[in-house]
Amino acid sequence: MMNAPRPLALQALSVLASGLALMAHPDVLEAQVPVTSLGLGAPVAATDGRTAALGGAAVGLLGGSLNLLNPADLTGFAGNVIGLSLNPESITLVTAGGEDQAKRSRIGLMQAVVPIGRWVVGVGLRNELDQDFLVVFPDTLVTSFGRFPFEEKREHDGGISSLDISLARRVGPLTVGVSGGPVFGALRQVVSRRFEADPTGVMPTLTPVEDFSRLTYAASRIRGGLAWEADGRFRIGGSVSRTSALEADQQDTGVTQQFDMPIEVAFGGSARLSPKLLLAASGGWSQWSRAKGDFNSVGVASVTWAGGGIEWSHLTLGSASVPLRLGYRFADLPFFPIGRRQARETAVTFGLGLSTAGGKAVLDLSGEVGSRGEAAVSGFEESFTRTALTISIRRP
Amino acid sequence: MTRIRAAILFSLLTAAGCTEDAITDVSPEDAPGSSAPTVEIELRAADFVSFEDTTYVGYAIPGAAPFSIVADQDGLDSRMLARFSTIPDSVQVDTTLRVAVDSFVAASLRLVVDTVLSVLPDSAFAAPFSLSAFSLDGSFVEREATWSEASAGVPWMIPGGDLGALLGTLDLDTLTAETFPDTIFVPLSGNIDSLFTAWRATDGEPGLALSMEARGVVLQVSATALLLGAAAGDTVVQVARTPSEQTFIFDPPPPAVGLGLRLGGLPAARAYIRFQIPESVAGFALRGAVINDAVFQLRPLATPTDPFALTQSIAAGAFEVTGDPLTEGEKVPVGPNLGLGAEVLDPDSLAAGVSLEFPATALLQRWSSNDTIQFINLGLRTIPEGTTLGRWEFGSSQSAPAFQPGLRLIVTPPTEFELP
Repeated sequence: MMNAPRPLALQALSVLASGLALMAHPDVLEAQVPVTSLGLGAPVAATDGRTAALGGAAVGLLGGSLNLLNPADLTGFAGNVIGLSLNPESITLVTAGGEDQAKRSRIGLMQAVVPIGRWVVGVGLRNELDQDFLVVFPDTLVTSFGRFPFEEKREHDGGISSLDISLARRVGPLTVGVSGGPVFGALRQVVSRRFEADPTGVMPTLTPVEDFSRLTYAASRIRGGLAWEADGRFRIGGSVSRTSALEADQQDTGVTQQFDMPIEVAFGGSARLSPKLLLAASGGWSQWSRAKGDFNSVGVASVTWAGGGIEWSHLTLGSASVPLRLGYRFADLPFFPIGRRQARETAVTFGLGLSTAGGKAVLDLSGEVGSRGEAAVSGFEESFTRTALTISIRRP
Repeated sequence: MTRIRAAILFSLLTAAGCTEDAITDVSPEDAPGSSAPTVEIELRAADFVSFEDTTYVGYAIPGAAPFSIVADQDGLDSRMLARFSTIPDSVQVDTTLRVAVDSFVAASLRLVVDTVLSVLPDSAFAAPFSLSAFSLDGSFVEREATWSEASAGVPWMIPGGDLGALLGTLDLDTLTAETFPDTIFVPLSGNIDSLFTAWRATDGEPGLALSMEARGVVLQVSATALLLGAAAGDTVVQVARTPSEQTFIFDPPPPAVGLGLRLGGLPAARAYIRFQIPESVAGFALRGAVINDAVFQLRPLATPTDPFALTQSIAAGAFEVTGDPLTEGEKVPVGPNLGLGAEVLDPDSLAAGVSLEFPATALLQRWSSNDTIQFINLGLRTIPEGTTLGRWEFGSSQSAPAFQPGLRLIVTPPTEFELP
């Protein structure tokens, strides 16, 4: 339905009123929650720099990628590989006062791949859900005999990771892979409150408060995957994983709680359109909705993700190729404030690779610029820039 | 084993990620994470699991006080009693020569007066204003003498001391509060040689009394000495002697302790309290909580009647008691002080009803963190004791709720960290 035209003055008043309404909108005021504080935390895209630059298109990527999404992709590498991916992230959080900055750093992924005959064995450790946050804010205790300003600090340090032991076997163009391992984690929750000393010495200085708790998480996961590759020009793959219920154990109280973990499906493929141009895409779905009944303080919904990109291998540095990469990805976030809508993370990705020592050492660097959530809709809003720096040593 | 495994897992996670910068632009209402509120809780005696209190008197007595009071007021009559048992039979005439005293040719009492604490006339007295020293007809016991008794169970012939021969008088008619000197001398006359020879023979018995005639004046004497002119040959040597025993007796006697808790006065009074704190109040757990601040509060009752009202500020402190003061009595062993400083008993503030507060944070923190502590025993006293006749009384557990003693706490209960 369209509105009838209105006089200009009325329109101006309307715009002004809208602006005032926006300034006072509680959604904006509430948008101060870091996404890592919701539910089991923020999912971490634990991939190497190459995959990250290609929009997270990890599954079925020609040339191999360090990721733990599909055990069948172990055969994408030509030989032994060991790699480490660092993922520093800078976040701008929309707050009541405007914006606030935070930084996080993490080792997103460590993986080793060893071909043994027709078999390929892999061991990897990845960060899955990030629960880190640190908020510091001032407040005032008002008593019958005075006011006591204080600074409160709440810190969560920890998250959920997984150790993955994979085995894959190539059968002609087809690879079958299985993997399994523990999903584990820990979370240290700390709250402290420090009261300001009265400069006049008239009021007592209140004893500071510091309290903490520690949680551990434990579950296990199995995953199966397939990959099919044709002549080094085309590769597709897919995987399904099942994770047992995650048991959270509060160490100091003995309280335990179980959270159903999602069944996850991932698929993707890549094609070499020309000797210098590669196209890759991946997607997936995680059935987080099965954990709906396990959370009291946040909403939970299933997650769809997808991403893709192109790799252009035209540039060289000396004798080494320097592939340039560009991509885009999106991913739903499984946890959101109650009464809000599920948030989505989107990012433009880019990066480059550098192969040295005749391909024995590879450095992949990627950057992501994106955002997650929208204050008025999802109750939080963050923009971020993330870097992935992956160093891998390879022996053909 | 579980701890080791948890530590390893935690280390892995710590290595995997960390937050480097804090988010600071966040409101307390919306801040993520768990936290327990810090709250103020006031407990009156009736709110405790148990609360008992009492007052014991006699921790400092006039005979041990560092001062004496000589007064002639409408509400207070007071006399100083003194005995000098060290009247010399020889004197040092130079650094090497000591000779026998032939006679005493002059004598006076030197009194150092605390003019700040004394009540002195604003203008010259129209009526007589004099200090007189009398020989006592009967002996007294320093620690037992009162206005009515020379010693425990032995009454004076006349209340106020059995005054004998007048030894000397100092007229003070012309002096006012502004001109009153810090030191005055009461000349002793008559047959002083005979008097002091007799005192020397009897170790100063029976002693002397110092009395005042001047309605409305109170002298607080902080030091007393007997100055003697001793003739030895052709030399007169002045010697000074401090009293071997000294006290003051006054009328009326202090009122008996009622339902209130008393601090100060002479004999000095202490308040003793034994209480059991509830484990939780209004849903807030106290045991195990962080005690951010705690004070023990006494609420003043009405201003005491003269002459026992506090007229100037004095200090008071609280101390722990290692036994049950209600069953062990006034000699219950004293423990450490609560807090490092002393609180001020300011008569104006007390008259206005302002509570007297003693810091008790450390004590309550100990209670909070130690489940085995059930009862807390406290004592309250003036510091030092016996410095003034003035005192104050405070509400006890038997008083109306508004006057009951209690605790004011700032408490942060343990945080109930939530699972995700």
